Amino acid sequence: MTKKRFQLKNWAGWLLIVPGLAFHLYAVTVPAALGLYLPFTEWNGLDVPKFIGFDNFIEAFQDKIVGMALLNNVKWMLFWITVPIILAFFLAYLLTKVKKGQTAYQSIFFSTSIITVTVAGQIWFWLYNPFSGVNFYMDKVGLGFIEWPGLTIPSFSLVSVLIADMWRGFGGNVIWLLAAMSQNDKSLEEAARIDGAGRFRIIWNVILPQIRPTLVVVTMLTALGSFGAFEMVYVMTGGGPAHATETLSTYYYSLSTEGRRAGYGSAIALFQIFAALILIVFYGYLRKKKGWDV
Amino acid sequence: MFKSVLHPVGKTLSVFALATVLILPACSSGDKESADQIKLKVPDAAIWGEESSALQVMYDLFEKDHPEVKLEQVTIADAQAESAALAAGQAPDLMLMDPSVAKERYKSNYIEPLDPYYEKYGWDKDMFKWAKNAYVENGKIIGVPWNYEGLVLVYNDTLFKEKGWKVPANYNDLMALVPKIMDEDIMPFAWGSSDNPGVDDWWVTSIVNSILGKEGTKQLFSGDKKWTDPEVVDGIQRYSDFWNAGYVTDKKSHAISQEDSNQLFLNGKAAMRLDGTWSLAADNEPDFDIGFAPFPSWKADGVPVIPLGVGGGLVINAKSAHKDEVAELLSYFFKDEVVQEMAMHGIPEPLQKDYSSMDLKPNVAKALNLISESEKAGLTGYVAWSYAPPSVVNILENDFASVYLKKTSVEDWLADIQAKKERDIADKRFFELDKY
Repeated sequence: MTKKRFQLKNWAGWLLIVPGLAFHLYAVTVPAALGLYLPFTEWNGLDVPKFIGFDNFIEAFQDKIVGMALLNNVKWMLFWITVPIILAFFLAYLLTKVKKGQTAYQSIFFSTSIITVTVAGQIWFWLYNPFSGVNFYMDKVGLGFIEWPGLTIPSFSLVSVLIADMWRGFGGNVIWLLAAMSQNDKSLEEAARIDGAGRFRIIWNVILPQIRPTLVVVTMLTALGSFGAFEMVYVMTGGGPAHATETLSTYYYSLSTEGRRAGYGSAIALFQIFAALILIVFYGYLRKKKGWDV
Repeated sequence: MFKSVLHPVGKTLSVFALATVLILPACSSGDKESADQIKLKVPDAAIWGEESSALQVMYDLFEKDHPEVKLEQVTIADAQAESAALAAGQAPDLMLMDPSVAKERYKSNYIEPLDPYYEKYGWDKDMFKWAKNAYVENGKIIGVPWNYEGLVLVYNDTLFKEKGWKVPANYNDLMALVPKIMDEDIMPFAWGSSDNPGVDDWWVTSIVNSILGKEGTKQLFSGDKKWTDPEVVDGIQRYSDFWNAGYVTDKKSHAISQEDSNQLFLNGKAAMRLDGTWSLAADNEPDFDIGFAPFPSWKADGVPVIPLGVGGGLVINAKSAHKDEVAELLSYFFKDEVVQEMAMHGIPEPLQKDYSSMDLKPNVAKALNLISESEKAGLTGYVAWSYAPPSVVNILENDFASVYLKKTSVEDWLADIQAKKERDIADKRFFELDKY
């Protein structure tokens, strides 16, 4: 092996990664670097961005809608890492007990996940329609007292959109958790049962510790996804009514497009990155200090 | 043999050559022109369905006369995609855009001034001056206004005649009428904004135009009149009270779409709607007659005003290699066949034309007559989405629900609009309506 041969081999490696590297630079690195610069500019999306220092950040801290959107993102995350995951866990657990037709059940639970957000959003929008949806027919049969306000009362709008989003997306979590549970050591459950442990004790002390790595990953991905919440909100309410369902994503999208304030929109988008970083640091802490390794 | 082929250098060269073969064709221009044919990229004629069918008529007429030019129709999904295409130098040669967007893009040198073409073709011979001025920036004409549009009251004429109700002309009339409509278990107004909160701007436009009149609205949008002035505060407050009394879609307008609200009206569940002239050509067939009238003045005993505006305009890409050919294509926009097609769909070109000889749908003819009469009487105004400063429009189109849903006070909301107006004026982002 001569030195020349070694150099050629190195060149070969570089040449092989050139197309991918070039694409990454063009499509990821440069836009990401610009994304760090744009928050410090006034930019309408067309002109050359004008540097304005920290003005956008000062405005963002004074902007009530940013606060509402951030709070909605937090609510979105808290909902998604609790209700759908707990529901997915128990459904996955029940599925492990099903001896026949497990695949059929899995398909049923997962089926909503393959519906596009646009269609799912429209379905729920129709269901919530106060003049032709579920509430209208509940009223007709005298069950108006248990009707869900849907999008008619702003304080219920976010939960209503979340229910639609959960309906579409939680099937994926069921599959993840089911896959994890099917890898569990069944003899541990059996031993616990022989020792007299009840069903919930087995779930808490035997099943949960075994699937914890998967649960942590699912929760982390769900939490990260929550800070990018956009599609279902955009399809169903566009962030309204009166910003009741506004998230950081819908807000900076409307600022950057209709509002033609891409610089300010980028400053708000940075909040999302900070939120993601906090979550990643927290995940790192769990892995290192608590030994919650995957 | 295989060994020699698979030698490291040979392998590298093979991969590199393969990559080159794959990449190079992608880098080449996709719009090579043959030696004798020019290709122009133009907006998709089906962009708004039937409403934009006049574009197809224009293209067909042009292509028949100019076999040397090929028109390629392209679809640009939204303003953001258009911005990206402009920045990348890939935008169509001819584009459709709102006046405020066109002005921003002209300042960024993406739009070609059309003064020489206006002079050459005499496009403004029959054009309404106010419509042309919507596309004037720094003394340059930058577009051809596509259509004019107005806001009108649409009502169930059969029901009104049956009950002996008078079409309301002002706020007093309206407040006298709505309890009677409610007594019939019918909603006074059908309205929906969940799919497009921007339509709430129609109410604000109608309110301020009728309260302030033409001159006052000009001043409000670009002059000394303030959004915080008492008459504006009072008008918006009265709308909030009107909405909260359940007169507009039973206080649920934010939970249904525009189309849903249209269905409520067409199914007889609501007596009236606020609508735009562009929707009058729709082939709805309710089991009642539809009536049109200027929207009632929001002044207690005022006179109705029809706010008018330019719906959009055709502009030439400053980076186009064939500007003269695009201008020639634009001149076909003024052909009688195209003018008729536009009018038939309720989006008339802003030209002084005699529509009486055209075969228009009855609704469209009625609406055009209504606008024409109002214009003669000086009872037209300005729609906010065409003429208010962009930051003001952004609030009107995204945040009016905060007022009637009582998430903010009318005073605070209008103070925010006034602050945005002042900032836009300081940044010279506004229409100089005093020149209209």
